[in-house]
Amino acid sequence: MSYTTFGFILFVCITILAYFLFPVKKHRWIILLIASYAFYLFAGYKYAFFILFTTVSTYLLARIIDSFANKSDKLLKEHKKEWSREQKKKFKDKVKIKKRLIMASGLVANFGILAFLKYYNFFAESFNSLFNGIGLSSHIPILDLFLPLGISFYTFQSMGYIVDVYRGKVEAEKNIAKFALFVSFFPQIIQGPIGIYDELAFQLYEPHNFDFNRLKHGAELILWGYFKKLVIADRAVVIINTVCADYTQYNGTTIFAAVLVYSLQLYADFSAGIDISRGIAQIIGINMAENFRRPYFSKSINEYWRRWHITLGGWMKNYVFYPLAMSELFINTSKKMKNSRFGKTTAGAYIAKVFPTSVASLIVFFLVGVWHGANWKYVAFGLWNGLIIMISILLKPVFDYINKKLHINPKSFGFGVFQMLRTFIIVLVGYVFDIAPNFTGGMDMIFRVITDSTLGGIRTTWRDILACGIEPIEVVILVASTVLLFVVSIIQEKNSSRHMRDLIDEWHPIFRIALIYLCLAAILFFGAYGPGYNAGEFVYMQF
Amino acid sequence: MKKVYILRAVKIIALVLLFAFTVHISQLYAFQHNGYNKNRIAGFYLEDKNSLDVAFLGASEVFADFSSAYAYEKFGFTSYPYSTDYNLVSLYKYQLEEILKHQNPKLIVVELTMTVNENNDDFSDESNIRNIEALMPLSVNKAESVFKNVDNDYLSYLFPIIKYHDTWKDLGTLKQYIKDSYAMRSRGYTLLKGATTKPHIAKLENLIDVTNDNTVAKLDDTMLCKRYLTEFLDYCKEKELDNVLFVMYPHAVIDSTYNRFCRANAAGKLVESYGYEFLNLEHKANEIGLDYQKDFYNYDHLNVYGQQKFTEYFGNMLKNKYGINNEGMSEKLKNEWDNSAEYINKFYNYVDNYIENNPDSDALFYETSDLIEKLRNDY
Repeated sequence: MSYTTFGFILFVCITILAYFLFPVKKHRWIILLIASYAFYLFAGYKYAFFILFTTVSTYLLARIIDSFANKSDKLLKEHKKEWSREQKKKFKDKVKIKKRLIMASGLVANFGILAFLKYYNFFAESFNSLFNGIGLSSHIPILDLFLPLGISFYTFQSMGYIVDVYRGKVEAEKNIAKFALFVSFFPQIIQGPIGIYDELAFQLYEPHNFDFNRLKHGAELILWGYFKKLVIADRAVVIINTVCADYTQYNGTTIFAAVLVYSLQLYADFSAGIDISRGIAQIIGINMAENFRRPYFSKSINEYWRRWHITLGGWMKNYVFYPLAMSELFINTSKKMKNSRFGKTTAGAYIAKVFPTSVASLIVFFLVGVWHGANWKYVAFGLWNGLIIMISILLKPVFDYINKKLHINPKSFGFGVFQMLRTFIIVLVGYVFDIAPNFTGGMDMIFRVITDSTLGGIRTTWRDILACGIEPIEVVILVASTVLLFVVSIIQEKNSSRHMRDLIDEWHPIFRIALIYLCLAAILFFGAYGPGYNAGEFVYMQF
Repeated sequence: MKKVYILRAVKIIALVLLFAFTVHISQLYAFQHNGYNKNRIAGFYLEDKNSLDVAFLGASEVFADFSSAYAYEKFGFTSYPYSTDYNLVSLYKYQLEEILKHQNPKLIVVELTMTVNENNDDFSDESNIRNIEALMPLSVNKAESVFKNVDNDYLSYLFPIIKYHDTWKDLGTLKQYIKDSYAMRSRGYTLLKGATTKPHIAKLENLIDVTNDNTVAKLDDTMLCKRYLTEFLDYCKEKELDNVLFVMYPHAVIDSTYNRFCRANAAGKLVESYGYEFLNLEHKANEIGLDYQKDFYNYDHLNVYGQQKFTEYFGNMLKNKYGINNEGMSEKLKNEWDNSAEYINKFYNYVDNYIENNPDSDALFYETSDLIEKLRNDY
């Protein structure tokens, strides 16, 4: 059931009504569970096995970890006086190893399923092509696999939970039905945001009363989401699809324009889906994590990834980056580097210091790339971002030195704008791999943009865009909507401590109603929906 | 506290009403299945309630072959075609329901050409269904017809703006649609009464003379048209309608349409088995005075010359054989119909001139604001 169907809107309305009309307040979460599973089963019965496996396995293993930890603590308390410090340490280490093994079994099983379904064919094809290329015969079979709806999102969310239970950050949930709701909560199952158990779960389970302001704000967020999706993203996608279907037919300027439009389409699409999800949750009384904070205003790639897909970044930071950067291997390597002759130099000392974070960053972004899809182009996308971050960490003193020598004030407005543009171009290079047919296609597209972009090509680009089947007036609407999105983003950026909805609340009611009416009318008339349009699925839906 | 709730309710209701009004007006004037079918069907709903003596139901033959305005001028009765291109017999009962909701005609004439359409795929063809479904105003009857005849995208049939909201992509055409709708609605009635034809004289060849041919082809049970015609007849019986006349309009029959002619004879038998009268005017081409080399714009449709001859013939039959006449109309209504009669004559003069100067034209002439303007000023 796509977000852009009337069926989905009806489903959401019925769920919200059922939730608030359910007489036993403390059991209202059951309505959300039923709705979530209904939503999931509607997408396909065959998917249900996978989400059920993740739910049951994670629930049981977390319970085992928890109960094991409790028993160990009890035993430790009972023998507090009898055991020596060494005995206690040995016991604690043993417990830790056992807990880690249980957690690892959960991670291996669930990430194993995800990896198998998502990457098996990729590896099979890559191995076959590699071995056949060097003259060795390889026939690893290609399987007819499918990817269950939202598998990446619910797997990451569940695995985050099991790690948190292992770390003792949260207690294991005792009620499997409640846990099933945490895994399957329908507004977030398709494309996130990836929830953290101690931030989200209690909100799902506790009863919420109807609140008009929440309804109003949630509905406004949903409306804004539909505007971005239907008026901007789904109208822009025609250009990207047409140009990328055979980019060799276009000059560098047109390819650059397609990448530029993709940056708009991807942001509008992904943030729209998240806004709709968050809006629905907000009406119910659940505050879901923010996933975007005007990413294109970032002044560095590091900052960009703190503003783009925030919950994925947060997940990677908590469960991959820190464990790696703080691992014995990384710390010891850093120490070894520091104590070496190289480490005695200024540069060496600095590199030894930042080694754990920079290498951990590279690994994290390699994983982010792989998470985006089973294709070498996504590996390139991840490594491109990781390398830029790594280089920016390693060369920070050099950049600082250059700025100082050139008398550049890093806090000046002009330099800020330069940094934003620089970051945006780096982001665009990464996006090329996203829309390219494959890795070599991506490299070729970049080459064409560099060598075949001219100002004179703009006229050809305009002709190319119109040949995509988009009318000039549609381009006007797309540009106007983008300007609106940009203006709203600037207002949000300047008032980052407050939501746009709170700012609108301060307007006179007539202007507020007029704004909502105009937004509705814009979607009604300018939205790419209904028969005749291929209802565009959200870009991140099949992740 | 109470005041807060009332204020909120007022704001929500205001927003909902404003939005609903926007949708309604947009559909009425602009974002619709625009064109000659829309203008004709919209024109039907502009007719004064219970003001029609005859209602016609059927496909393109109905609005191409017979002119209601011309019939009024000649015989004094009022009529209107509730018909669209390729009008599917599967939808006739809902259209009859629409006719009966707004009018109480003395006679309902059902043209049978599309009731013997052997192509089953046509019944699920989206464009055929939208031809009429998009144009009916929202009602329980329309909803029923949509849910029974459409497999998906139900809402876009109930609210056509969902399908046609991007008509603005062609601003020039949209402007014309709005102008036409506005002109017709502000006038309050149509001048050409739905008549639509081509200013063209077709060169017809290899015609089959069916004047005395009563060959009956089997209406196969696998044909959906038979099922739907039977359903329609059942419906007429259920409604206890005894003022329904089934007619086959004249065509220029050739090899490829001969079987249809024979199926129409079979449909006639089916109609008669329900106790309704079937009038096969395919047999009467000579009596009507139709000239195959002058009166058709293609093998199935009459041009303006044929339209006048057929209207005179069939109108006369309706008046004298079936006793259709107008038993008094208000001054306002009389003025409107007199105005229509005046315009249809202007229209015939205009098309006559047009054919002379543009013998190869294949344009379709129907009531638009520009055409009316031209007729008013030049004819």
